[in-house]
Amino acid sequence: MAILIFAVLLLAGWLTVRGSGRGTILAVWAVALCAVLVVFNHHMAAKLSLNF
Amino acid sequence: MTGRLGFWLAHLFVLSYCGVLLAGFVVQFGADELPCPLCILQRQAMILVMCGPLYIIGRTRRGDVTLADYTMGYGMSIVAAVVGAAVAARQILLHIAPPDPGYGSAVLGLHLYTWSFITFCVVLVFCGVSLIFGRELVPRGVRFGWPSKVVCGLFLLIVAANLVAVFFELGFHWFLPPDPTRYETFHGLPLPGAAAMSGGAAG
Repeated sequence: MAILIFAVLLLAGWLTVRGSGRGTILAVWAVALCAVLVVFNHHMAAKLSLNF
Repeated sequence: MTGRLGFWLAHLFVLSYCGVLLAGFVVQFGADELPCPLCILQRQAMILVMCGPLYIIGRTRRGDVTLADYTMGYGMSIVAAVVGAAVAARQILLHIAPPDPGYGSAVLGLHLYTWSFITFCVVLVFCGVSLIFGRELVPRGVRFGWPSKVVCGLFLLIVAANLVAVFFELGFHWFLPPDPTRYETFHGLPLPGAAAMSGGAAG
């Protein structure tokens, strides 16, 4: 999963550096951000659970 | 004048975070400490943060940057910094109670995840100030020259290096173990020096 996220980040970086369209960059960046949140949620559940 | 300042501040932002990620590599390979899953998530959040100023730099390829582009760039950085700070805070809280020694060795008295939390807080302050003075700092009269190419190239190189490093650590597994102790890709391979590569300490 981490490999896939870095691959998406590399794509997002490449598109950003090339000066691609605003929507394209935002979409790829948002996909990477959501993937980070999903993995974070997985590791939160795997370790100690929290009480709010 | 202030337009140029905003442009070079974006470069400084990316260069600074590239330095932080390179320091992470120094600790990983120099001190032989494997990053845990939360450390990897913080690196990913840092790269997401850097996409903001890179977006502003990349827009200069198309001429002047608009205020909408400028605010979107630093908006992306703020959102990613909040996520990164949440991950770092989670890791701090996991190890905060004594006698837990913390994960990995300390640098200048603080663990890497604490430094990471501090960098995310600095990013939030920097982006806030940049947005307050957004009208003055929007890059104007600048062009995408060789310094921009160097900064963008360095960024892409560091992301690619992280991709390779995490492949070494993860191998063909889906998730990292909570406390990784070896590079999975090299583990069990009959290569000269593979035992040394696969046997890193967790710290």
